[in-house]
Amino acid sequence: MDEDKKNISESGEEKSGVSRRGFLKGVAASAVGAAAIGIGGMGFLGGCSSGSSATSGSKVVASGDAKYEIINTDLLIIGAGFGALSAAFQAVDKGLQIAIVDKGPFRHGGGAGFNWDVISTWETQLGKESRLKNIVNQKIYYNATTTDPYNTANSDMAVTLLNRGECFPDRNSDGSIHWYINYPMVKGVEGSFPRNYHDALLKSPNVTVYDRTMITDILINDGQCVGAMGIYLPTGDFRVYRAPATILSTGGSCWFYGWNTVQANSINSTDNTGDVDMAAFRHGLGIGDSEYASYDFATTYPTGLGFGWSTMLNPDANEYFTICDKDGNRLVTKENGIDLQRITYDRVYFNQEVAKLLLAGKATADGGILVDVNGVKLRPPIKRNIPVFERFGVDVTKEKIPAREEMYEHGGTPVIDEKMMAEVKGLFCVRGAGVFGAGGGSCVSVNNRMGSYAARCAIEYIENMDKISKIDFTPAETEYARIHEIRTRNVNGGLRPHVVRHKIQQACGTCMGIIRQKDKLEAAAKELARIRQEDMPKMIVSNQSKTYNTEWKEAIENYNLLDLAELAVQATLMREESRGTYLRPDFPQKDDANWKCMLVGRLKDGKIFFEKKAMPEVTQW
Amino acid sequence: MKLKIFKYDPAMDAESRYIEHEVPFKDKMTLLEAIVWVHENKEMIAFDYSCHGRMCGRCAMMLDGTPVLACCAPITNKDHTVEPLKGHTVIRDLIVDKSAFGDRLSKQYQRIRTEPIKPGEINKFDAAVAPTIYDMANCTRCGVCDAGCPVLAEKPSQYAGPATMLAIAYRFLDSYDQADRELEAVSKGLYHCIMCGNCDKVCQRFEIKHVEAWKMLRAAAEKRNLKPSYAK
Ligand SMILES: Cc1cc2nc3c(=O)[nH]c(=O)nc-3n(C[C@H](O)[C@H](O)[C@H](O)COP(=O)(O)OP(=O)(O)OC[C@H]3O[C@@H](n4cnc5c(N)ncnc54)[C@H](O)[C@@H]3O)c2cc1C
Ligand code: FES
Repeated sequence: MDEDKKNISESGEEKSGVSRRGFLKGVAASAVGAAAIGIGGMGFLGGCSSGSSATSGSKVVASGDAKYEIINTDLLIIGAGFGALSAAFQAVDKGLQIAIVDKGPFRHGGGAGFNWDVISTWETQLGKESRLKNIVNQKIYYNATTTDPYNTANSDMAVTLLNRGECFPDRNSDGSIHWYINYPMVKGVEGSFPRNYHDALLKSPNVTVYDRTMITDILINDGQCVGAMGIYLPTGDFRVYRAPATILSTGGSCWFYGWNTVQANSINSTDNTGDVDMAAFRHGLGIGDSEYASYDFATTYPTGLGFGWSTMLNPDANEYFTICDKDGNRLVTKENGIDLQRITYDRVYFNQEVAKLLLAGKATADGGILVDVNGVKLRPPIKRNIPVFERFGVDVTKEKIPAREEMYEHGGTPVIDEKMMAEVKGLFCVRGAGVFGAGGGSCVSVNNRMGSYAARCAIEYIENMDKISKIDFTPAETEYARIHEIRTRNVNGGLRPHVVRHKIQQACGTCMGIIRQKDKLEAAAKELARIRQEDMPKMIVSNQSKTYNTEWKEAIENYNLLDLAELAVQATLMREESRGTYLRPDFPQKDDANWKCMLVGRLKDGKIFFEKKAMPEVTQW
Repeated sequence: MKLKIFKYDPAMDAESRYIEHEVPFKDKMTLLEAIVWVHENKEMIAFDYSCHGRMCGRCAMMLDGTPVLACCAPITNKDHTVEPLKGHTVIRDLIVDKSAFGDRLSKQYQRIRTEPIKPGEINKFDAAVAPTIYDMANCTRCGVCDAGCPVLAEKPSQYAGPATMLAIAYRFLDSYDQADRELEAVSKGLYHCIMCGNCDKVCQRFEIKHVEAWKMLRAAAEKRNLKPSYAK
């Protein structure tokens, strides 16, 4: 977008805020090898360990001189979804000049780039919300809530969102807001549309958006994050963003879970592939909550429409009555032992109960369910999807449509402290580990709350930090070389990126749903280790042009998906209990004595190690 | 089924060309499935999509000359031509640059008020128009309507196009908006529209009724004597 817009330069040298500097140094081949090849080990997980260690099979090709532009900003925000936008509103309200980097076209990137009919929810009794039980960092909730100028934890949030352009068109006949969810602890309204926030944010003259730009690494100098870097996709140019503080909010990555014709088993976005979280992981930062995800059910027929939130039926906890077992009988019923009120606000409970019923022989042959919407009053956004089926000759009121669980959110993010800061100074994570814990990912209201809090923390940090006296761009040159080696790699019998990706997805598709069986997890762990050792060095991009090279992008993303997949599978294996949104049939109970903790995965000498971390609890509220 | 696909990499190619591939058809196939099949089994194609389900608007392109969303467009078992969305600069193959279009729409969608909404106002909304505005809110801003608009193709300096007009209609109905949207609609070419209804035909958000919205805006404009002389 608007690159000429003024940003304040820290040094004061570059008034335009966009300085262009070419680096003519050669490429450091050895450093590239280390960065590109990544990890292979299994940490200390006995039993399932293949013991593979880092490979050095790929040849490093020096791809010419590293050339990049340097963009300076007061505050760098990576991502343009709910979390990032909330941080952005807070930062511009405090007068900062911010740069937003979005991998997708702005307004169209990630989950919030789907202009979907969001249910916005608010907790009404502070300190009592059910998600505080999900092994979360309660201090974050306390701090964020008690300092929140936007009231994101109570019903006044409606005013905030209305002032960000919402209309809340779901109204009663007297014009008042129709509360779709109105329980003692939770209130919720249908019909929020995320693009209102993108539009509203652009009213501020303090925002510069750099969209269609994929951040591939963070810039770390002496244990301090001083920015990030990545590719401007339309041209393939490399950009380095300099900032005293960086806020990370790049969404939940579900894209490693299964593969169909055009989609993973997920309604989430192709954009969210954990790129920056996994860059942080490769820098040695701890990653938590990798085993946790959020699930609903999605129809899978016709195949191209499957798992698309506005092309499917979405038998989630709100439409539990459309869920049927393999024989077409209603599955989520009192008779089957389910508390029908609790499922609407406790997704963990919902998933576990459904998983138990499916395991008890109620599932269809492919492990899924059937959906029956005949005679049922559907939520407006789902009702709107029926004509899509009709265009494909499918009458959903006459046929029961096959469905299965889909992963719509996922954890697997850097561990943060109570001020939202990762294990490296200057990097703040809106959806950091401990924000959602066993809840598995995040949701709109938590993103709203934690986004603005992350910005307040970042601003406080900037105000108190020591002046950056020296900046070293060598890491940018290393990263430049790494990604261009991926683009120009030449291997006999090379594998195109989608081939490698589908293997990762298929491995996880068997074991990362709401039922996670040991033998399948172990097989997946083995396959992922094999992919890392054998396939990744052979991954080639068939067309090496730098212009919007989707294959190159996919190849870079595969490193992140693979890291994330290994973390997820291994953390699940390690956690010998059932907690959160999934069920391990071999350990069906929750085991607080041993596992009431976060599992933090960390890369050391090319291997993943896990450590247990207790989460702070708060009682004062 | 044969797919003829537009290819162009401005950094490498002197001019655009088409590639052709035989694709195995299957019942209830989407255009996106067919393109992914070619990309994975024949040769690399640059194309973009995110939501795989009618929300992000990124898969908009031309199928046999008609603008569609590839993720939910059914494809028939005969030969087809696939091209980038009309009206935008091609970045590569089927990926176009819609950023100017998107920025224009963002501006148009911004609510204008004298002061922020107060807590006591949250329950004040014109309930009669709420369902219509709820429908309109689903616009994906994919650009399909504009790509199918004959007036926009012919008189781009006089008619801002259906996507922009819908944004105006949305804020016109928004009880919290205080700007003069009737005037804006007329000044942006409301009366240049020939009411052919092609926007309604190509739009994949079936709940949005464009022509009805234009009629509503015209009625409101005429109440205020804003009908331009060229339309009388
Ligand atoms: C279809 C759908 C429906 C949902 N419905 C609800 C609901 O009704 N209520 C609710 O509370 N929750 C809902 N959720 C869950 C949850 O709210 C959202 O997933 C979440 O809030 C999305 O916000 P986010 O900011 O975390 O991520 P996103 O909105 O996904 O934003 C991520 C951003 O990061 C960018 N990005 C990714 N990688 C990079 C990179 N390498 N470099 C630069 N930018 C990058 C993306 O382009 C995007 O802009 C839903 C999720 C989905 C997918
Ligand atoms: S992929 Fe999002 S609208 Fe088609």
